[in-house]
Amino acid sequence: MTRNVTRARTLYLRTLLVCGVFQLRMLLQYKFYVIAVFVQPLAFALIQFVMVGHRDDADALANVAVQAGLMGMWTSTLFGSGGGLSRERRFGTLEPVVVAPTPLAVNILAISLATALMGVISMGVTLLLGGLVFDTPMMPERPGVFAAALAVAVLANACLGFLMANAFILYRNSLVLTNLLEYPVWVLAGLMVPAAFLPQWCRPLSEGLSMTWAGRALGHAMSGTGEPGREILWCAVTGLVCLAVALVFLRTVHDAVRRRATLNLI
Amino acid sequence: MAAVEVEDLTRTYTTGASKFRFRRNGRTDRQAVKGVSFDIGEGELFGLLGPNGAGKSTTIKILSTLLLPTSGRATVMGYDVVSRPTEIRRRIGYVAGGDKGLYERLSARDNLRYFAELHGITGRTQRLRLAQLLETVDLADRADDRVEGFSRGMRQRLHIARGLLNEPSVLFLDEPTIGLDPEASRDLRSTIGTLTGQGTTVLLTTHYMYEADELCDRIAVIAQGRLVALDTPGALKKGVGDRTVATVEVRDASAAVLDDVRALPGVLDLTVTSTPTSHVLEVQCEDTASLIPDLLRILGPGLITRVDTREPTLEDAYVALVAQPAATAGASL
Ligand SMILES: Nc1ncnc2c1ncn2[C@@H]1O[C@H](COP(=O)(O)OP(=O)(O)O)[C@@H](O)[C@H]1O
Ligand SMILES: [Mg+2]
Repeated sequence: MTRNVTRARTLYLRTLLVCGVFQLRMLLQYKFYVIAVFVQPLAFALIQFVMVGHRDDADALANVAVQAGLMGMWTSTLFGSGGGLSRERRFGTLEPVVVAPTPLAVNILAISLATALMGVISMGVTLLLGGLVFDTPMMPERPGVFAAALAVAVLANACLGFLMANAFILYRNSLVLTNLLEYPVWVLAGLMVPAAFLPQWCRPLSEGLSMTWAGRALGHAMSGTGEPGREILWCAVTGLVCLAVALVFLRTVHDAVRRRATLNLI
Repeated sequence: MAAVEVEDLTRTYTTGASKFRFRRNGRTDRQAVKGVSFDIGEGELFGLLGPNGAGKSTTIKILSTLLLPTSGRATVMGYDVVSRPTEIRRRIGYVAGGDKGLYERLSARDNLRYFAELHGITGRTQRLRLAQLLETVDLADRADDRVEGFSRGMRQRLHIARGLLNEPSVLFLDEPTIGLDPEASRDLRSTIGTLTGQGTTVLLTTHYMYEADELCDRIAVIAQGRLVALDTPGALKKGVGDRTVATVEVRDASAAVLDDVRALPGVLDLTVTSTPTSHVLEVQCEDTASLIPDLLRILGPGLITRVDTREPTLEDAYVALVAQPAATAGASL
């Protein structure tokens, strides 16, 4: 019995990876999306560089580049997951996906994972730009920690995207949500302005967001200061909580979808 | 054990619940399936026949675990559709008619690969099965082209290949030949025949009578959410054995004239096919001999170009069956 369960689980992990690769391949064919993933973080990073550039503080600059990269990652996840699901709806692929024995969650997570992975491009772009603008290569002081933080950031982002994707399945008008959720997460995670500037009451919200921890961990990995290990751990924990909530929610979504019959409606 | 058991199944849709639509009273309920019962034996090829909106797709979607029934009970291979969807999904194939349901920007082969993965079919087994299925549905030479350039018929064939990926015990085919050219339809019918020969149970919906007649072991006729007949094609035809059909072609026939025809004693049903230059009236009646003089009298002024009588086909049986509940709504015109 236990063996069967384990086998089923590893099978889903494989399914998740293969489907994720297919979703990534499909995403890369949407030129506007790809351009947005490149251009938007560039714009953010530029603005931020202008704001802190005069300080001549290499650490601050590196930090800004990283935060801008994370903003891009959130945007690609949010719009990618939202767009991905409305595309599935338009293509009418949700019904065949639901009829397949693999849980719907795996397919949706594959979409979110692919979109979060696009965020790695954002991060690369902003670091490259920083290096070009200030003529010093932006390299993390602790590359191993940086890589780990980035990987965990991608996974945590995927979990948050996954949570929202559930809403996209349930509510056909949920693209509105996509537009609504871009800025709040940037602000709460301290990507636009340092979280220390936030009013006291939104601190808990901010601390509960994996993006906040990802931002801190990546910043510290760049500068070689602080305790990025602990922050990576918090990023993972908050991401997993998000995943758990999403999985419980999806069970409800799956029932609701079968009750309401809106899967194939655009 | 029957492969599919359906007991007093109903399904109600609630629509208009969207806040963004202006409606006076918000929601409306539409009962699409109103207490349907039938069993399908293992290896049987069962046809669900009925006009548009009869509730065929709704029934198939409930059995494929896409929709929950509102009341009643249904099992597939012994598993309950409400509580055991995953067990059912492992054992069924679901093919919906139409050209949606595919990843447009992936090739035919990659579409199949994607869904093979979702079925846990991997590696060598996957490669072999994909090659074989692409061959079966005659898409091998276009296998690596993106689906977005495919014709309706090619998409339909790809749907069918996908439905067969997991070698299902029960195959649900919702209007599988819609959009196929005659040759492809014939190929599909022979594929379906082969499958049932190998023991696959097939539930097929269609509104092509000859298709059901040719393929099905038994046919359930469903109209407005209710089962109006359930029998072998032969028996269904016999059921209307006491009828004959008179065909009259006229240049001109006003609505009033058609009403007069309908009102004639002995007329059971009337269907009219119109072209700009003529109208073909098919009159189902108990006895053509006594009816023809009356028909000639009423339709004479409209310039009769042809008069014919024939024995009933399955199509007539079907028209007679589905016309009953709809007669008052004038659905046969
Ligand atoms: N998702 C849906 N929401 C609301 N009404 C629906 C939906 N799907 C089907 N219906 C309605 O249910 C009835 C039966 O539809 P359907 O089962 O698709 O019929 P068929 O397949 O026999 O043509 C129709 O009146 C149709 O308008
Ligand atoms: Mg239908």
